[in-house]
Amino acid sequence: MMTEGNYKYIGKSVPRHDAIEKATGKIKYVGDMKVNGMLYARLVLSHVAHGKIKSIDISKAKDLPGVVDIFTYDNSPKILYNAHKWMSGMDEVLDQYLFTDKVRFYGDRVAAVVATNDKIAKMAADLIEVEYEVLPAIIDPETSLIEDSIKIHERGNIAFSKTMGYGDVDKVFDKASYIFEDKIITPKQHHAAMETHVALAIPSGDMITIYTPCQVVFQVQLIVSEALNIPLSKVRVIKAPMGGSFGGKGQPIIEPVCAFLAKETGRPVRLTLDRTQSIIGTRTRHKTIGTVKTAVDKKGKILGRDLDIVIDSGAYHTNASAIAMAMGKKFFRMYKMDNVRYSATSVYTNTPVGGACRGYGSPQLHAITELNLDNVARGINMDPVEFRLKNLVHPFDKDPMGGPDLGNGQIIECVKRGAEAFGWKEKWKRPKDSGRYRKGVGMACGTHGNGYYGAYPDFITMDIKMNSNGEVILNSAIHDMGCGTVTIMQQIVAEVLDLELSKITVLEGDTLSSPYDSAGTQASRVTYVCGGAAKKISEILKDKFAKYSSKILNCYEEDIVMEGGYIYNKNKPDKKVGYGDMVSNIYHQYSMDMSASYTYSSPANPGVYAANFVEVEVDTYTGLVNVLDIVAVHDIGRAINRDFVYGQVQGGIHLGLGMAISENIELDENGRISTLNFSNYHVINAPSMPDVRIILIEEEDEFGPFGAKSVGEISAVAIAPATLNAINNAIGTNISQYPATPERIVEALVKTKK
Amino acid sequence: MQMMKIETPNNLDELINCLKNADSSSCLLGGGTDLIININNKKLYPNTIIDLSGVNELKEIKKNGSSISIGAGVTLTEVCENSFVKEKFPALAQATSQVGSTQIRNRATIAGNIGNSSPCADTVVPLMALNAKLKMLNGNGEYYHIPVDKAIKGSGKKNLKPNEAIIEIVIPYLKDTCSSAFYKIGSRKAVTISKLNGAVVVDINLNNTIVNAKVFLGSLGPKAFRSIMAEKVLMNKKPNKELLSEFQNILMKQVDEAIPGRGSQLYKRHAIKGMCEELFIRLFGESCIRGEI
Repeated sequence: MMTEGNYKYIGKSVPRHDAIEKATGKIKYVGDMKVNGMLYARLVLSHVAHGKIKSIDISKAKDLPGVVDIFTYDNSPKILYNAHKWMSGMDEVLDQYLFTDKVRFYGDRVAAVVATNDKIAKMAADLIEVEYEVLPAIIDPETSLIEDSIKIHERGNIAFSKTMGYGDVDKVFDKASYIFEDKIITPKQHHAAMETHVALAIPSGDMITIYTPCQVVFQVQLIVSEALNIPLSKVRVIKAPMGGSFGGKGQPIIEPVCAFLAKETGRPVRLTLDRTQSIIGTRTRHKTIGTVKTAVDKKGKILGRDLDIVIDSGAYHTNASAIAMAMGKKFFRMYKMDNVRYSATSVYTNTPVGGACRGYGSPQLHAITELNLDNVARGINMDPVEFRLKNLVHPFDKDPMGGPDLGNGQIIECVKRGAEAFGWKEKWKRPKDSGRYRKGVGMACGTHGNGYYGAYPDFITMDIKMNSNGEVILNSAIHDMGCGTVTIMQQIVAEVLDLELSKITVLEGDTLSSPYDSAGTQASRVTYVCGGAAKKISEILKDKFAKYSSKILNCYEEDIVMEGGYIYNKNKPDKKVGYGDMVSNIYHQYSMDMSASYTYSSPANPGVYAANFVEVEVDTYTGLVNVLDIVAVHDIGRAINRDFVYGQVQGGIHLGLGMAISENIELDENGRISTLNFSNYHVINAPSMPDVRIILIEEEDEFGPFGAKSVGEISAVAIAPATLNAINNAIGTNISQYPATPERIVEALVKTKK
Repeated sequence: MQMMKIETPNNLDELINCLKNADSSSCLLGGGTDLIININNKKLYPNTIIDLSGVNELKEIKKNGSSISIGAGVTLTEVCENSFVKEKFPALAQATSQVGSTQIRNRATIAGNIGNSSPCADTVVPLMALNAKLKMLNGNGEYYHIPVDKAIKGSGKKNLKPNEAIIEIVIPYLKDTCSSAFYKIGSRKAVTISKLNGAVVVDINLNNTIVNAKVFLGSLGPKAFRSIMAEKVLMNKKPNKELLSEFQNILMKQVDEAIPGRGSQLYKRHAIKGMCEELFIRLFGESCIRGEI
């Protein structure tokens, strides 16, 4: 039986449920799916950043044999929607159409071609001639703050603004002896999932079924229903195998378009974006410009902090408000401070649209604040590790803003353990290199959440049943993003019911057959909340099974033992009955099914924490950065599957390193994008990716399943500032714009010399 | 839809026949690593593609009396892994080993790299420095040689006629006292397009003095070019720290002259110092710049 830390399935590194199918290429992604009579769709995206469409000439495209139909603003619904809305009743700014008559960024959706094959669809899309009345464009978010003669939307260029905080910030800054201010810029980042956006919509009668690698089936259903004005019951969304998302497929971007094309043509339609369209025409990590001030005393105690952040929402609102709030909340949950102010303004610009991107604002927030903290430490001549240890939150601290409790937050332990493993003290004190190659070290801390509790409804209904073979089926709207969610759920159910993994089937989201889930795969909630639900419903089933079994075995419920697929009275261990046989007995004797349904509402939302330590070597001639060593320490609560956790941390580090040194969607002054492909949008590639040394702090959380907390997003939070701190430490610069490309490093070096 | 004709010659005679009929909308297909992308991006729509992959005569690296010849169908991987090339022409081995990714090098050819005429083509720089010639074949069945430089107009434009094909790259042997090196700087360690690339061939006498030098630079204008000012700096000097410093300074000047006012000037004039140092290490060994020679 289970005892703390002595689990049979929890913490074990079992392979993911579809590993063999994936490794052998047998798995069918949506891009591999073909159904009878299927048509192929291709989008036409805007090639100007801001303009009114004067005319669209589709005649040449329409004449191409194989073209079935072409859709534009003229022959599509004029219903405004916001793809960010994941639940009915959410009051969001509605500012997007299926196809627009006014383009607002280089990549805005102008038309779609449906044809009998992919090549013809692409050829026809290229033959569509769009004439624009080009309007002046706003590219820089700070321009958007003050410019009101150019209106991207009628409602003005400020999408959202909010100030929150506590204490008397102005007074502290008047009196403090040390104040350090930095202005820091973070880039627009592409999610770079291997699988680009793709969806398949199949009409049948008045029903449309959509296969999509999505994060929230009920959100896709809701948005399709709203954008096309059809009832929810006529839209069925099935989560398909996911070839990577990282937030990029969080909002239903192409699904409503694909559903519309299928509805209009009456035939199955598959819509696929290519890499360029995925980079420019979907969502990006929001660019931010943060001005942060920190007041400290001589001993290194933080007296107050003030952060003013401009968030570049891009051409549409989507989650401009949610991202600002999400960032703000993290700002108060990292260091103990008495006076804090957070002001955020999200603005529209004529640039690619912001959305969820692994970390949901936390990477940007920490990229700004943790860079500033190193400047504070440098300014008061303190070791940045010592400085942080003085100010970090302690386990079970309360949220000063009244948010959910921080829980058993182990950031101090993360920093201590990481510093030791990294050899921080020696490396920090090491004399500085003066030659061409210079080594440096940096670290940063980060925090993130565990779901939506405290902000939005956070619940999931799960159905579970055990059949007369002793097999268990867990039915709920989970979505495996490739992180191993299905296997995680199997491990949780297996642990509770003491049943081997192969006997547990875990279904994924299908709006027709899955019970409702309030938020999908967002907000690092899946292991914590959905895993919590899986544990709870397994316990309910276990209790029910034990209750009926005790009647059949003629013993007390407390005497019932479930072990490895067998159930028995602990006083008669020689009379073991297989789970399946017992289920069959219960059918016959009590006319009862071994099933349960339960709606689990998350009871908490603790902080999850990480500390990253990085050593770099900078080539002062070429500005190239070689990352030599990374130590990532994670306050994980409890690892359900250790290898999955390691995989998440390595992936998060990979994404964050890109933000630190190479990834940026580049726009010129007219909003034209130059990074249209991986030939010049540079993710970190294998030769440049260092090993990551991972340390897990497993101090169980009170509410998470078996004490587990999230890891998927927090893993991408601290690495960028840790890396830039290391670069600045190596070459004595104060680079404050991410990514620190070779050009920026050389420029900073040249400036420092002067 | 426009039809595209694919010709698949199996030997040089058949190739001559294909070239005879070639016009300005014909393209030669080597590895296809640029051509196919250009077709997909609609930058090119050839009426006729002449696929060289069936011509076995083009797939050899041959040692002749005074030169080596690399067939137009030889892949970059085959070039950079060839032990004779590595020994005698390290600059070319280094350049071919750093083009694109392993997958690209397994398909791409030097002839294609020249024919594509990109300003940052990695193989062009060492070939120019090594004084390589191109053996050509045309539709009249004529064989002749031209210098590499003549085949390239610049900025992605070649200077070849539709009815002629590069069939071999011929590189004369260097004197035993010569050595060569190539280096490139891109945005990252590997799989990167050059922001700067350069190749140097030097002849060093028994007194450890450079008696002949050739310096070629790429990615600093429409096409690779010779830096005579840099060669002058190297001539009749001993390779050491001071010479490296002079070499760096002159190449910084060369960058300033090549791309004045360009956005990338600041970066390139600085980064080229790194390229100089790497070239020195490859040519003269690590110790020369530590002042131990």
